[in-house]
Amino acid sequence: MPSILPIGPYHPAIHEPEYFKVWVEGEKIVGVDINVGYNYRGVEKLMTTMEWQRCLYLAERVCGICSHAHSSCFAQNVERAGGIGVAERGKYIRVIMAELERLHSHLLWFGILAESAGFETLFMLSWKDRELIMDVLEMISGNRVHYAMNAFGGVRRDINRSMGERMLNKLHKFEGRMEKLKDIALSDEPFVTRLKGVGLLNPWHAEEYGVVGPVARAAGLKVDTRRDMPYFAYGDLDFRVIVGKRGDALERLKVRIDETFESIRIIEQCLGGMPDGPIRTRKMLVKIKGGESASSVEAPRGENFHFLVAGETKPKYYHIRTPTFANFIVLPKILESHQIADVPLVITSLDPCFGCFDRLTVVEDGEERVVDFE
Amino acid sequence: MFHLSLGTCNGCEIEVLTLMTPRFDAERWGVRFVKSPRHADVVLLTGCGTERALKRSKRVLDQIPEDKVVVAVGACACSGGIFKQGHKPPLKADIYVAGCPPKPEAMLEGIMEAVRKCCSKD
Ligand code: SF4
Repeated sequence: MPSILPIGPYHPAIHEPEYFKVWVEGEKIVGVDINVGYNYRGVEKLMTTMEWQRCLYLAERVCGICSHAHSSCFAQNVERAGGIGVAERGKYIRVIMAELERLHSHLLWFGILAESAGFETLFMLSWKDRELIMDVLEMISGNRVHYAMNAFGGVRRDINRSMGERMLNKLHKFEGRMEKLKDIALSDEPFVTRLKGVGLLNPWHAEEYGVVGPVARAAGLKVDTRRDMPYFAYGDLDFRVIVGKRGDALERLKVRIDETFESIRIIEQCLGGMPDGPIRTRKMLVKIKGGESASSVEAPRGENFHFLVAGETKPKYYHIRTPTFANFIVLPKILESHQIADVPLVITSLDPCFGCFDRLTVVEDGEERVVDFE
Repeated sequence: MFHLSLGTCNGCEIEVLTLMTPRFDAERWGVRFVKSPRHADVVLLTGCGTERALKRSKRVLDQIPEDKVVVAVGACACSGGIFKQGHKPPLKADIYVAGCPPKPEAMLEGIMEAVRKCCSKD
């Protein structure tokens, strides 16, 4: 008879309030139930009560880590529904912001993973280097978390030449630090052994559950929205999609580390090849004709999908599917037959972001049973 | 100090976490994040107070010794912020740090204020 071990909602190993019910036999896990909703803020409903301009801010506040991904996805949706053209230079700046966001998000995750594996020093080191990226973000946008860079038809702030130079300086410094971090992480015997084989996900399961982002790529699936459905300026840029083989926590770490280098390449290309001209095509947006549109962008954690049914001055209906939602369904599958001590590690290795995740219903145990909120 | 999240967008939480890291390092003033509410003198509140989180967090808050100092961090915890329409007003705090999210420097100032309050109590 398995016994139930509750983890959360307020638990030291998990930074956000979520509740996991874990069935255990001895130290072994036999089943997992995810019970979320502690972060449920009703973003989609709120959207339908706000005008376009305010919605953009709300979209940004779906999540504090992939804030640019959400707001640019929203902007793209409205632009598509309303037939608004986007300024060419604006597209490039959007890409730069998205890649900077990927850098800081991957580093953040890197630190948290190290912390949950018990490697505090690496956590501190990676967060220290993350501040370099935060400096760049602050220089461009004036903010550290919610950049408020998107506007309908482009972006709100330009990146001029001297800014670009300073940015490149910082990025190169960051690249050196990242090499060092990679070296520390992958040459540390206990750390590598701790991660190896934990949270194994094979490609056919990944495909079956529809996993996205670095988790899928680490399992060997070559999926990347930037390459599969190019948006903004990604069609003109040249970059590699990093794919791993084994699909365990260590592989996820390697994929993410390599992606940071790739992101730096993308930013370099953007800064070099940015066309001159206006950064946005219009000042304000009050009214559009209405219609429907869908758009997806590659957030740091994977494909982020938004769907919009537009009214004239407000959305009529809005739907968001975040990458964490796609990735988390597979958790019970991964956790089965692991030890209790692995739970926080496996959870972090999926890079969950509950802020995004908690908005609607939950599919549990892979059996598509919809759990209600009580 | 104990960090209690009541349903955030994650922005504030990440910024709270940066307080521990080398650049901002709250520990140099003798402030430590504790893992259990029972050890805390100061509570750091973030988030707009979703129904579910409020219900559960009550028990957590009850475990904290009586004369705690509550610091609300972020627009959400201060007033409900952008999510105000759908949620109950968040809990009452002693110190409010505004911003969405506040800069870490501002948070540090709030925490310093809390430390001062704690010291003046005993
Ligand atoms: S105050 Fe802003 S950054 Fe902080 S949790 Fe609320 S919406 Fe997010």
